[in-house]
Amino acid sequence: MREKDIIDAINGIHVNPLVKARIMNLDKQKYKPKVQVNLGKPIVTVVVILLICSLGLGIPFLSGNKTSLLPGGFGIIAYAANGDKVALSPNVETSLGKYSPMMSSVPGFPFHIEFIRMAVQQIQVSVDNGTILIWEPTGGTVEDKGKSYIYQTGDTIYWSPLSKDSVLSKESILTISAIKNDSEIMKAEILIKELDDSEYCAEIIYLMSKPVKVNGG
Amino acid sequence: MPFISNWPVDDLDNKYDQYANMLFKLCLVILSSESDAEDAVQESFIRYIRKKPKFNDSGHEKAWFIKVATNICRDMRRFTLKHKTVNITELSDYYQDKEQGYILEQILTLPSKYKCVIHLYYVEGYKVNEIAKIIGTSQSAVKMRLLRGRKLLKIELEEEYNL
Repeated sequence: MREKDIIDAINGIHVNPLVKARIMNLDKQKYKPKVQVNLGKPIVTVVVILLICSLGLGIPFLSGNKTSLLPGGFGIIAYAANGDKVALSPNVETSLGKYSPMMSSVPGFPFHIEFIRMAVQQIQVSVDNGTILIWEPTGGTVEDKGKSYIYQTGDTIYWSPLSKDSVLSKESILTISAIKNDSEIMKAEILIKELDDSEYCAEIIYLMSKPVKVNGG
Repeated sequence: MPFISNWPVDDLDNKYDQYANMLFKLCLVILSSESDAEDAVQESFIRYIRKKPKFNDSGHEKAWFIKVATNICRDMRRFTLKHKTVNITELSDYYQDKEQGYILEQILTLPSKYKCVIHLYYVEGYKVNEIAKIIGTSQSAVKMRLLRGRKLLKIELEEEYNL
């Protein structure tokens, strides 16, 4: 009986789904294996870093792409045009691939918000350009939600660059705001922009998260 | 300098699905910290990617992941010994009611050498000799830790229930 309690208590532990995104992104971050240091390598390393900087590519390990888990225990998942799942990180430009509303089989770029450790009352989503859509792939119905939408847990929303007046937006800010006890406990702004030739990327450009105790007391 | 750029994503995906939750439970029990446990799980997979180990069978593979994760936890604990307190409210997602939260808190506040053995024995179902092999100690040491851990846990729980 007591042993069962112990087993039940431990089995209540579950890994945050966003850890998977972190691990699956290890390959994309080109994780380096450990190498033995010798005298020649530091010099080579410095030269390589200087070369990278001189090419204007930035310094990879200062890119802030260490984790996809956002403060406050939530995650913003985007899906690239090729279906790849990517967890967005602050100040990291994440490629969403090529997309064209006329050519694509999906109505826009899918976004999904996961709240792991944060109990929220309401999640508001809005965009300044383009349109928020809800799509039911099995039924094939697309609902145009306009510029703002009250997000339901588990929803996948789609951002389409095409607005009602058929204007194709080159960029938009998707704002996600979580409300609890009538106050905003989390706000994230995601810049979605077209880089070149229908190639889109997304980046969290603003993030505010207030710590909230789930079990008060 | 070789980068791992062509690691089979499907393999990593499968391994994650097979072991991540199990490793996270173990790491959280040992480290008593959610973020440290997540880091330990991630580091376990990094070592898997780096080493590309070959396994005889699935049991060997699982034991390898556990051994790596417990080694990582041991190393991490060396740096966190001064922060030994457990804040159970931070782990409220992992228990359903106050009583289960209390039991989890009791488990997490055990000395790590006891809780690691208890976890492997009760939750993962390993035998004493298997645990000894995985964590690199003698069978008698495992038995002793199991006994002391059980005793400690049982006594503390009974004390609370008798109040």
